[in-house]
Amino acid sequence: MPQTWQALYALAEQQHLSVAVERLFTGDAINHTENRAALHMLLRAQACEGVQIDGQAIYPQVQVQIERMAVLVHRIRAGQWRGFTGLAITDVVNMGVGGSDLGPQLVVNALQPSNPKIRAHYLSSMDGARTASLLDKLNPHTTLFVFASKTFTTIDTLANAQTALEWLMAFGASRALALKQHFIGVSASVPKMTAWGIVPEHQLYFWDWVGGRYSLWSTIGLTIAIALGMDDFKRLLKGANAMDVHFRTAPWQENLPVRLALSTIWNRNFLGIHGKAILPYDARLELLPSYLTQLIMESNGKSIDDAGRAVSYSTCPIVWGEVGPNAQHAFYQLLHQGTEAVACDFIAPIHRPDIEDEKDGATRAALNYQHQLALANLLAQSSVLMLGDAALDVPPTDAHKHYAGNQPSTTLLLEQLDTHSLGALIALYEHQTFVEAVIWHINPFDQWGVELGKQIALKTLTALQTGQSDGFDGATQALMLTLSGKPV
Amino acid sequence: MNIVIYGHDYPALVTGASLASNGNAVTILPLDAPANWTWQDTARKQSGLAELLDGQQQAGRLHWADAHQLSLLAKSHIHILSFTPAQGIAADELVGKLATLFTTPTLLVTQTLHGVGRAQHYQQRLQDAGSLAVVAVWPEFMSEGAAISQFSRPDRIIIGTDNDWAISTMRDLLRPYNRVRDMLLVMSPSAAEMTKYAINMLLALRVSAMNEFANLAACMGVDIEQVRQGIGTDPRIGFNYLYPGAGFGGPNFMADLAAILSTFEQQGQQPQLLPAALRVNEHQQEILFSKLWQHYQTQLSDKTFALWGISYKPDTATIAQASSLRLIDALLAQGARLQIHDPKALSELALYYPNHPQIVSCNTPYDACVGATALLIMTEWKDYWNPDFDAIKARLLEARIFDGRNLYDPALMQDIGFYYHAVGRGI
Repeated sequence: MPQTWQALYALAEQQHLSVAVERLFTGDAINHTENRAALHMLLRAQACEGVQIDGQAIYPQVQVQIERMAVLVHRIRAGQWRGFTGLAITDVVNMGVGGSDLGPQLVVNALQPSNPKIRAHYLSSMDGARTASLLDKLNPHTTLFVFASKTFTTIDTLANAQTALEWLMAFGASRALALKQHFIGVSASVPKMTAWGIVPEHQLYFWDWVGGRYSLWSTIGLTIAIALGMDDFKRLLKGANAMDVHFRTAPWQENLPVRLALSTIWNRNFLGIHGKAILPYDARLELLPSYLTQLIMESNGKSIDDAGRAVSYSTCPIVWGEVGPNAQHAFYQLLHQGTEAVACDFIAPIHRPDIEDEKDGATRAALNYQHQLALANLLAQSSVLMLGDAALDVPPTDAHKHYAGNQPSTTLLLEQLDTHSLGALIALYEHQTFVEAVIWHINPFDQWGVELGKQIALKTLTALQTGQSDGFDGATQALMLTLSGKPV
Repeated sequence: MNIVIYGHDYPALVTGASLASNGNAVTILPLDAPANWTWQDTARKQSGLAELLDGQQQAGRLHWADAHQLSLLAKSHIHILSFTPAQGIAADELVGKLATLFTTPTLLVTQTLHGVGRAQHYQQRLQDAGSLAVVAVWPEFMSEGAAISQFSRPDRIIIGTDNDWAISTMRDLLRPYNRVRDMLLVMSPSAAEMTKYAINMLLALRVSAMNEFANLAACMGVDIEQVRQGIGTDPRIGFNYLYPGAGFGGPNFMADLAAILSTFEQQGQQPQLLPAALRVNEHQQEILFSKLWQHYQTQLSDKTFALWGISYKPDTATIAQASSLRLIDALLAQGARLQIHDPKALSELALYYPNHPQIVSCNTPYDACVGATALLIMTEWKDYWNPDFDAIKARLLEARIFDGRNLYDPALMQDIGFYYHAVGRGI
């Protein structure tokens, strides 16, 4: 084992990891296909470190946006943000896709109080089916929409926002008042926000150098701040910053992101394991697997290296996951007895101080028992994955009861789950994703693989509207015919 | 009889002075009062109370004590707990101390309440300490502003105890107030507590129901005043507490409602009606704000408004949990300025919003109107019922009144050239 680690550190050395980390933190245009830096760490910096882009100091600009955000958040949480009839806002709908959706949803879902001051909801998908059912539940007089989109041209979000605007006007709001009192825009494009109708004082800004999947630390985190309060949002940033400092300064032998990444490299490139499962043993983290699915696979699902050549080795594994105890009743069968080996990340808090808030002693005891039960299951699963039959005193004789074992897993324990530790946990995965990319010589900060589908969809939409399906492949043409109601 | 009364708010002082005026020897111990409190602070809020207290002190029947004298006072026969609803912990601590100090048969009376079952809990504490003291519940039905007359001419006297000696002692003590007809009703301690709370809850439901109707009436061009007259003629309903307006408030009433909710919750019950009534009330407390917001198209930051009345009801200086505070907070948050008049509560206002740059206190109602965009009314003080409308009109920028208490006749207001916005008047 120690030799393996030494070999992996040597690999990191050979791939110039230290240089890459410094380039990342000092704002080099490390995202070379888009000629941009990736400076999400600056969004959570606790002091000015002098980083500049195009001669402009970044830290003061970030602080200005945080302060502008704080003003809006304070007004909303104080019950003094008013809808078009003067009623205080009670519900906020976050409208965004990808990072603008998953980040806020993950954090709020994990940490919101049971009786929140302001209720948070989410709309992302373009189809409108969820939009209609959500709007049915909400009061137009007391609902505020956060329109979050880096470009402010994302078709999914534009479509949802337009529906929300129509809904407000259907209940008697004038267009001007609906826009002024019921929409906050969060974007890297001020002109686009203005053009859509967001009033200037309700526009929050972030920057080109913030990637969508790294954006929850920016003003995209507005919904988090509204739901949890500005203090908690700042603790989230502080926790992530603590991980940044650790990543940049700790020796590799103690460096969590580095070790987590190198273990992926070992499993992927040396053991040939294709899958990685994210398995939190705390249901508050139920959205973490989806969040990390995007973070890791959108970053490292690449096959062209930094020099523009096709890589000759495997890169990102297939990542998925589920709350561990639920997954035990779903895909753990495959983990233990399938033909594909899977590397697992188990995640759990050591302490559950939230249980102490429970007033009833018997309920408290029952909840503590449940926490112990979850931890016992986590340990049992990681142990059985490693040992297989050897975990038993007497190995089974029936072939169908045989466990091969010899599967790798990593267990991450948090002191407790709070805004600080969740910030650190997310930042840990961001940096491990970066380290993997450095080893694989790929750019983790672009996502050209999602563009072509969007382009073709525009062409397809025209075809669906006009009924002209010429030039499409046979399968698509047949489906278009079915959609148009004509016999195939 | 020797009576000790614990508390500093108006129920304690009115009870103390009134019982002293019947010849009892009364000592008031204002336990847990705010720092630097003097009895004049409380008496000032209640018409006639200062004179009553003064007279009884001069007659030598009313005395004040402090916590150091507790062991001496414990020898008295009757102890009346008259804390505020917010002082539940202080009351419980006092009972713990008294339990070890009572040596003779003693009557411990709870006059203000801290949840259903509190009296039973006190009785248990006394028994556990080996005390022979008996607990009786005597819920007070005084409302601020009219407390003295309500104490001396009660609609009913409810005594909650299972003990015959306690019943006869209370009957004897309250004889001067029970002469015309016997209105003393005896029940179990918890029933007495629940009665008081149920009354308050029904009042809250009634007002919120009327407010909900008033808002519907406003949408449909119906005058809620006509509807109110019609409803009141039904003998099953009657005319009281049917006035729509800018919501209810006040520290004791709201604390009682909170106590009802927590009593339900302690029993594992989820109350449905009261939370709904409270939600309606929250909206209603801001009804004038909503009207202003819509009328001025959300542009309030450049405006000054005259505001008449901030106490939670007339004849009191108390502003805690008053509807007016919700309106003031909302207007301040939008950047509006306020010129405020209240016959009694301006000093409370200055404490609540010390040196606020957007607030000016005015000595007369007319001063408040000078240069204001419109006049807002939040408390139905008698002073405001028949003002000099010409004087108002001459001072306001525009003859426009937003009335949260429906003081005036809309037709008349129109005749004399005012734009008049009331609650549910539908015109």
